[in-house]
Amino acid sequence: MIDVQNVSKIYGSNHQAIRALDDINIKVDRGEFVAIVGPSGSGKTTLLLTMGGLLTPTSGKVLIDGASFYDVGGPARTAMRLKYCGFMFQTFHLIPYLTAIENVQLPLITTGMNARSQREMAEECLRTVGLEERTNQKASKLSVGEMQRVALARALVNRPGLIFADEPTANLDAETAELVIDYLQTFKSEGIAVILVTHDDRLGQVADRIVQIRQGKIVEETDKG
Amino acid sequence: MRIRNIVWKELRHRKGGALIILAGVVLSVMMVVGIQRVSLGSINEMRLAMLEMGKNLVILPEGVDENHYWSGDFSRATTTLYEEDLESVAEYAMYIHQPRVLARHFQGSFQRPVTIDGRRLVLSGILVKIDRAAPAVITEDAQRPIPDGETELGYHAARQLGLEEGDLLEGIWRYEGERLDAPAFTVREVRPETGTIEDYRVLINIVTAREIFGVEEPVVNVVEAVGCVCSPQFLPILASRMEEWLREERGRPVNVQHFQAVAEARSAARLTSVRDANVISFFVILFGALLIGGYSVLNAHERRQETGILLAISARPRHIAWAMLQKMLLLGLVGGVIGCWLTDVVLRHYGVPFVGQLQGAMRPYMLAMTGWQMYALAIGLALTLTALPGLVGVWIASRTDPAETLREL
Repeated sequence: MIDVQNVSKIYGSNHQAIRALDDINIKVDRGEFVAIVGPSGSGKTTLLLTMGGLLTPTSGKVLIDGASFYDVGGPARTAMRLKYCGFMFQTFHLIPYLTAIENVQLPLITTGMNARSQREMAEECLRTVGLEERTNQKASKLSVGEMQRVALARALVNRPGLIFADEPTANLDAETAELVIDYLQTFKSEGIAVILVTHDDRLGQVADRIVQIRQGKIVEETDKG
Repeated sequence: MRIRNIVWKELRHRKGGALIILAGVVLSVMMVVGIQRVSLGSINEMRLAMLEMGKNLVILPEGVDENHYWSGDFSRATTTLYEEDLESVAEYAMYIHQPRVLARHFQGSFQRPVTIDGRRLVLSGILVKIDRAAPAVITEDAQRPIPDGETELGYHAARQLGLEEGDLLEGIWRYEGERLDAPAFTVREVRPETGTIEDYRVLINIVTAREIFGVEEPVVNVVEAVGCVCSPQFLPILASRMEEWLREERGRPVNVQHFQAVAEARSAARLTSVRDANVISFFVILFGALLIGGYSVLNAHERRQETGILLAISARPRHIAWAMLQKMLLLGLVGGVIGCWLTDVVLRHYGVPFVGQLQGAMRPYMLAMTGWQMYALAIGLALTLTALPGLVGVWIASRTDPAETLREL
């Protein structure tokens, strides 16, 4: 599904250069649940953003279904992201003045899909995460747990093959975190590859594979499968 | 959902910023349109006043120029015109395809500067009085002679003589120091103030006027075309052709003046003040543009996270740019419309009309700026005022790096 080949990322230049990723190689297949763990500043988020087509690596390739993310132009990369990737973030990144359903629809607004189809797909995703009652609630009025579920629904709405999640449970209480973990496992069982960055041991326990990263290098890869 | 829905919702969410922009646009439009309309309005009012005096074409005898005419001094007239010349010039106008210049538009008068009880006034014996209330539709009914024994006084003539309607005009009349034998006249009307030589006229029947001066022939010494609506571009041509024709064909050496030229000279003077107004307008626009540009930059930074997430999950930079531009254009359009409306309300209150609201026949003489043109200009200005400075914000927003934005949190 996604194949990261010899990816390095250097921020800055000359003597101020910081090597955030150093010759990373990782491959994730459909239906796989991969947790990337490591201390702060180890390069976890940089790796996630690079894999998600949002951060151009200094060297190396990121292939999704054999197509290289960074050998194409910006518009084509956006189209690839839209086709293959869903994103979840630690702080949810919802637009506060839009309703729950409008936030879920965001990935679809540039697809040319008509408003009715957009709405139907978004409603279906909100149902999946149990938020059908909060469809027309403004994002700013939702609880933290509801916000993360809306973010989850938004990550699903374009029916991606890959979900990238950056610390998806970091801001949640234990109960909501369990719920999000359950959803992620459900997606995995439906054939979606889930790649997440986490400090949460619970996520580590349910992951098929744990990739430990330190100073931009993979130092350990534990396959629990 | 479309990008425009997000634009609309963001505007409602961040009302404060939107209101600042709207206020900037509205004030700029009001200032610029107001200044322009007042400037054009003052020029047009001046032209209208000139036209309402009814003299867009004046045929003077040889030796008399427009300065003599405006001072009512016909003492230098070496030759005199005749009543029949009125028919002739009308026929000539018809001959040169000016069908709206008819005999009834011409008012012949016999004028002399006189003193009445020591007050310097202009005696004007008129052949017919033309009702000037609606010069474009002058009919034969609108022409009537002043009855013998009656007079109409200009505003200052009446004040100087201390007369009102119904009073009797008696006194010692003199012309170039010589006492005249003038009968008494009943004042039938005191004319409103015009600020011109018209205010000093004593209008009486032309036959009586000639009798006072002992003139027996049916002479007139000035022919005024009252409200003959021919093309302003054609007036000077008509004037010069008439002069040539009257001089060569009819043996009348005359001086034909078209007072549109006078109006234009005066309007040129007014244009100096318009230029001053334009400088003020420029600074108003500059201030508005800086305000809007500043806001658009702030807004681009304020929306950085939203922009970042949109770029991360679906949008391209051009979508972001278009969304932001749409917002600026929408604000420009709304601000422009409100600005036009408010300007119109204020200016109507102060009685500054659009040209389109002026009497139809006057339009050819007015500076060309109709209501819809002014509105189009104002809306165009408002859109430009928001779009151009807004481009700075658009550029900043469209260059947002989604990865950088997402890492900031």
